[in-house]
Amino acid sequence: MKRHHDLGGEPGGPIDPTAHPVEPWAKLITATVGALRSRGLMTVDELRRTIEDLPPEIYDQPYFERWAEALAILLDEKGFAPSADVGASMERMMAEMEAKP
Amino acid sequence: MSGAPSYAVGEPVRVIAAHPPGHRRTPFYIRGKEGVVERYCGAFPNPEERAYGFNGLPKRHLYRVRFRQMDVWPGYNGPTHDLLELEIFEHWLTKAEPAA
Amino acid sequence: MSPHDPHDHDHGHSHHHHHEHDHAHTHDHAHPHDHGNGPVLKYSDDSVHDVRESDLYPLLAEALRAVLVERGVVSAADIREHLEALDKVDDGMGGKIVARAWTDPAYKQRLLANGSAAVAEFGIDMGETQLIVVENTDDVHNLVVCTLCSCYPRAILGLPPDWYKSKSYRARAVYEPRAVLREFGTAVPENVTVKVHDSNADMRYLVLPKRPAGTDDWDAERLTALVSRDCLVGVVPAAAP
Repeated sequence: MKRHHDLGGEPGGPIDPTAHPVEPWAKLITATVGALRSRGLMTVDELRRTIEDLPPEIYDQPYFERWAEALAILLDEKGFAPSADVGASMERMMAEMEAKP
Repeated sequence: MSGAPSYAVGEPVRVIAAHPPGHRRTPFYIRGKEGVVERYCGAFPNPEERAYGFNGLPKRHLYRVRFRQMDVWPGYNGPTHDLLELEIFEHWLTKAEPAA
Repeated sequence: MSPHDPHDHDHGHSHHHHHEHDHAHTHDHAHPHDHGNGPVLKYSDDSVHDVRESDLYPLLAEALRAVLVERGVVSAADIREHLEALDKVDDGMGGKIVARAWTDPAYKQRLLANGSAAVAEFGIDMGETQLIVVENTDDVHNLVVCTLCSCYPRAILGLPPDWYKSKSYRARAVYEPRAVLREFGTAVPENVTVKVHDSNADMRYLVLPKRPAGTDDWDAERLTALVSRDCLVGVVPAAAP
């Protein structure tokens, strides 16, 4: 079976050549992956596998959104960042954001 | 690394038409297609193992294989001399008969 | 305030608020943080309805960093170092390499023979990958794509542009490269071979474009300006002088 991420040969619309700047959070995800890799704590192959295993509706988001979702799953799987802790951390940050007028 | 590379530059090869589940670096569209070894790239840890946390050793031989577009896409809409090249690990290759 | 401070994101994204309410997490059931203890479920709750889904990823990125650092998996300095390295990628590096190859035949030979070693002369470390430089000539036009993900010579060119990561480019470049090239304004004559490189494993590719006519007396520094990122991927030629 052809898998969802395996795009070569699929139909596709026109290509939009517009370049957008990379958002800071996307750089942060990239840097986090870089730091983990340079410490030998994960491989790019593991991240790719996790990306490919994302449900199609999540995979179909833009590139770094995909990376972020997959990295969260991988780091939970590897025990480096349990999703409960990550969720709690996000909740704390949201509370801080909302407290600020 | 397990032994010397099995294929020489210029040798006709066929990509195995297998569809194992899991992380694979051989795109679906090239499976079962025939091409010619363009170069030997060296031996690399097997990404299909590394994807699941193993070390990918022994390393696997990696080749660049050249395909004619017309052999890959039945309805290819360009000149017959257009080419497509991909990297294929040795365990995804088998010998092919020289093109007639 | 750090550039990734959540308050900063709140501010930076405030113009997105109230646009549309289609952030109902259609992927709720599969979401990694959909465990009932994170803010994600609350996103479909009216109390937080003004926080758009696009704000979720800055938070997630921050939270991953915070948890990794807190647990001592990596240090804040590690991550900062990698962030700084991303910002230090020199936009002009590809141009410098190409201009050197155009003006120094011995360098061009080294570049085509062993791309990784030749770009190391510019201080570039290809890491676990190897660089293959493919030369555009009167007979061959090269085009690079990665159909499986978005492999790209990041060590030289930085992060890939959106179009390179787009589904359309990844899907189509392998089977209708000439149509894709035309969309970028590049018409390749029928007698020229279009050679597509699917960057699907450990090699990375850089296209060495043809040196534009009328630049014979130009030095490397001046030539650098003619070399865009897109011509190094093969979707366009080097700019005319």
